[in-house]
Amino acid sequence: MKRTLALLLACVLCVCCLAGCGGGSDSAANGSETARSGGAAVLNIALDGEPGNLDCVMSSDDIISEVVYGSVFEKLVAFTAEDQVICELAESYDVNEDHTVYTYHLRQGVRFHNGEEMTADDVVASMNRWIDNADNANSLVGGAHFEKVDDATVQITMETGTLYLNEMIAGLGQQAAIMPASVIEAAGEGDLVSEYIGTGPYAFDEWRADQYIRLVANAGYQPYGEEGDYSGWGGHKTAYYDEVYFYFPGDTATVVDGIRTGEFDVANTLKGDDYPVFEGNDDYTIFSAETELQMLIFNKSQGVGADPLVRQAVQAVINSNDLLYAAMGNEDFYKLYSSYMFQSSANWYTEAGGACYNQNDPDAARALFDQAGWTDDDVFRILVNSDATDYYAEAQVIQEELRGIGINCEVLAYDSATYSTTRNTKPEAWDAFITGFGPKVLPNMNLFLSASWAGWCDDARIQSDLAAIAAESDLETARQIWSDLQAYMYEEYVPVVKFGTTERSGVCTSEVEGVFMKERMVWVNAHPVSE
Amino acid sequence: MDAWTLEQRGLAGVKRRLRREQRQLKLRRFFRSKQAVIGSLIVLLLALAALLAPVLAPADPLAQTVSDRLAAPGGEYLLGTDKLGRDLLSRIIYGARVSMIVGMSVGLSSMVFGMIVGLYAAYYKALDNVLMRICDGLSAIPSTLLAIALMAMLGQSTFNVILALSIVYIPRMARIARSSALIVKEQTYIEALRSQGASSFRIIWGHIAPNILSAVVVQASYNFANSIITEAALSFLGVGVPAPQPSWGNILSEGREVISSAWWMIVYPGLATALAVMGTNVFGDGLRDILDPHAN
Amino acid sequence: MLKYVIRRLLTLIPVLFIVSVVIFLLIHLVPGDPAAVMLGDQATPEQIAALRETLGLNEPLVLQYVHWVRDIFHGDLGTSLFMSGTMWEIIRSHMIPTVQQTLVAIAFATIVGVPLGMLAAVKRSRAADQVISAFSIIGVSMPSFLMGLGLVLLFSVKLGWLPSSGYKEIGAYGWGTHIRYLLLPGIALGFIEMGLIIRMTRSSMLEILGADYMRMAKAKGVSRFRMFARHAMKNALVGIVTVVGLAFISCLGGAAVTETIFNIPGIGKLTLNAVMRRDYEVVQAVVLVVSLLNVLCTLVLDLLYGLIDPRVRME
Repeated sequence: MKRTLALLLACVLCVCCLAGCGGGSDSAANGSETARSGGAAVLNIALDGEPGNLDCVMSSDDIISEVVYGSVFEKLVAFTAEDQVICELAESYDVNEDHTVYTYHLRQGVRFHNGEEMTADDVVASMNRWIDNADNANSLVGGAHFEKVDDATVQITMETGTLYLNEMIAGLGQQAAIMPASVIEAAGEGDLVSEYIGTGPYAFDEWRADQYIRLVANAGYQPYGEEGDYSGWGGHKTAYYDEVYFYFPGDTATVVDGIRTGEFDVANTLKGDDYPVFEGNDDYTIFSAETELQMLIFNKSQGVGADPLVRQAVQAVINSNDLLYAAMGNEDFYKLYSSYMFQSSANWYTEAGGACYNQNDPDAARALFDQAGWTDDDVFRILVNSDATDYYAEAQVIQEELRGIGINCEVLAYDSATYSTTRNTKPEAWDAFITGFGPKVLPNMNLFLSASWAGWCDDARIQSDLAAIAAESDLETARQIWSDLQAYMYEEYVPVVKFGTTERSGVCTSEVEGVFMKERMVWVNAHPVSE
Repeated sequence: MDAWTLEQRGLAGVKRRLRREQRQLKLRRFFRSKQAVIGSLIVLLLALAALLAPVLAPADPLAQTVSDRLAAPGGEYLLGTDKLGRDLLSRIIYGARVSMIVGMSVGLSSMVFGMIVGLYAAYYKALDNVLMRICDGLSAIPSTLLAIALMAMLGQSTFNVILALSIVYIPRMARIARSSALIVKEQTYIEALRSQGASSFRIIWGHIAPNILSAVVVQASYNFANSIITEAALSFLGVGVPAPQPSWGNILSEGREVISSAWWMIVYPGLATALAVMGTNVFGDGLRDILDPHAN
Repeated sequence: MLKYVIRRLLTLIPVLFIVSVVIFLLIHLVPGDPAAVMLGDQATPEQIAALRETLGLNEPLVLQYVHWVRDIFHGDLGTSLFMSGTMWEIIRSHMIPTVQQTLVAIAFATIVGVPLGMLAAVKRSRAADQVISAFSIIGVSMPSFLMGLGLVLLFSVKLGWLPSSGYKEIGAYGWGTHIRYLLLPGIALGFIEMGLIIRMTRSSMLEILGADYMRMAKAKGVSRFRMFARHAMKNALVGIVTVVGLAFISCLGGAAVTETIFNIPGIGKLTLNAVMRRDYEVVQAVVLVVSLLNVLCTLVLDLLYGLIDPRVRME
């Protein structure tokens, strides 16, 4: 009797346990049956991580823009490959004499993925949300906001003129993406949107956490420009694939493996150590671009980093080649030059102060440390995001270089969440951190020169010179100011130590065309070769 | 010399002889048990490697020669180099230190605190409910998850790994100590002692504790083995021992990034970890056969 | 008997209470801010502060705990800051891969472990036995993440036979692909269980081979094979049930590392990701559910022991 009872109970409990899991598997399997319906053109892209969300207005994470910018979301204006501003959702724009009023005339008949037509209200809501949440946009326009002129026109009036509003809108970081006003209202102030509805050639369809994100072709997309005329982030776009999948394989071995077996068509990241696998093989195309300025940013507000002598000393000891070789694993993947602005930005490239770059001079460094009164009890603390393997490796090389001249150095490697909280809210806990920045069209857009961003570059000369550059209408004068300022920063203030610029590579099979790297991967016009 | 003292001496002698014989029996069992011998040899080897790391390691485990990064085994670097051009062999030898320190500290601390909790829970009924429910709660959470959450909270350091793993293993140890202690407590001589008015402290530590020691020691040896695994797993996931300090887990974690191009970064630290875990496990089995032959 | 089960179920209440308090405190004491993760590397402190406010993260901890527990009693386990859908859906969809991986692991462990264990018992003390016993020791002490890395290195990187990681749903890709992707993680996870099964099968077989009825059967001329099939298998069942139960329990939490190596979107990976992103309610809900399953599985195991082996008395 007792045994029967026990048997019964055990069975019931077993079934309960299994029902919780087993029951789910049927419905899940049914739900995704269409995941790979036959015949449809599918593009499979491997990403180097999973985005936290897809709201590219609120978050500046590269990987978010990589998925949705240009494909799902579009902006009023966009950059071409040569960083020229062209109209995207705007038909045209006017700027007044003193650059205080920008007026945008909107394209008509553009529909969002939910079928609604884009109106001036949507644009005003979107642009103002961007201004309210993107710090550098906000400071550029001086807190001004967009207003609706009529159903097809929007306008912004600023107190002081700026030459660069369109560059700011077209530029990357937090994107000035246009979304329906209803979606923005639903999100509420300061929060992320819960629906991803834009105007681009692909529409967001499904996100299975930890597995994939799926975009589908937007049948109602109205392209602009001439067919075949696409450059950089703007021009004539077509959804050549019915479905685009983004996967997050998590490690490079899987990416390499997946590209070779055809599981993935495109990978947005190819590490230097895996480069030889694909190099020189006609079945694969490697695409690369100089994408990142990697640097050590000092905490100028307090601690040992507040002393310019210490900053100069650290600058003196660094061997940029060792750092970047350790991080990238391939000499073709980085360039060593002193300019804070990229080589590609012809207007602002300068080697002023370059004698202080890549010094690799331990004796001079030790002398500077001694001059700064460095004792054996002092510690130089480098904060680094442990998920960013490049920066982590660089931090360890710097630590070792400092150890070589008898300087105590501690590497504080935290996961992303702790890292950003510590960096932004606990300046007393660190002396420097390592990060990278994409190319910018204007020196002022470099966050590492901001007085309010981590590192706190609160130096009177730097801030007044930057303001002068923004307000200067003569380019030659502005360039001279910048060049002098860079020399000052290298020789005296040393807000950062630049390591070099790194190249980022991705790889795709030769069956796919039209994927390239510009600051990050651009895939929106990708198409099969046979077509 | 009167008869009484003679008898006393005789008795003491017999006692001594009995004890000696028991010791010899245990020793003989130890040497007859192949497992115990092999296991303890491996543990000894690792402990020696850990102790003598500065002598044994051919290079400074932190010194970088970046231009030689990911050099294959052979030549100047017997087991190759890692991503920053550090000598892998030296890093593995120094890694033994981390494993041994973590293993021994966790083994010891879980033994001491587990025994304290277990003994008092067994002795005082009022405490029993509270302590055991807390232990149940802690051990209901899967150990890896608990360790990960604890490490995320405490931050990466070797000491914090020891702390987190102790918190994970103490409840399990407490349960074993308690159940052994409950059996001892029921025995008549404890009752007798209590009626004679012996202090609780003396009963607990003088009479119950020695009798549960073997069960506890055996469990501690398994905790030793498990904490070596868990430390490696935590460091592998990036929440254990922080760089640049070499630990087998964080070497493996780096190795995973370069698995397609540098097999040695996986194979050698992997072998070291496997050997250590196997050695400590086998050692634990041997110990159990000797100390606690009825447990299995 | 019924009383025993009810009593065991009642002890769940304090256990779950403690689990909920421990995990709530733990995850909220982890430094770092989900709002900062959501907004990316270049967000300003003001932007983060505004989002924290909207998300309700600025409320006092005690209040947040009370709200959470209150919602649980209303059947609402909470919401994720990063994923859409209800918590039940999130947990269920992540539980499926974990269970599938566990099933492959157990199948591997049984298919390899039982025959080897039997062989070892039959060839007792001979070379085969020694080799198998050594193999089982290796199995028992091989951490699954190490085994996983080794398998990837050999079968994916060197030989290119099997995919190095990933997870393919049955519905979309069919059984073949599904199993192919689960093979390596399954073996990595099941290796320890295999070692245990070898040990258990061997010792229970030895016990049976030495039993009186076996000798009697031999004397009577009943085929050894038939005796084997009838008695040995029944006893081997005890071992297998134990191992299956233990495997299930250990896989629920312990698969975090293999799931990371093989990039399987299971419950372990979910928890790890949620801890890293500070997705508080996901961590709380998953740990609570997993702990509950853990305790329930132990109870089921205890009941099953009582059935298969009547010598085990219910406390």
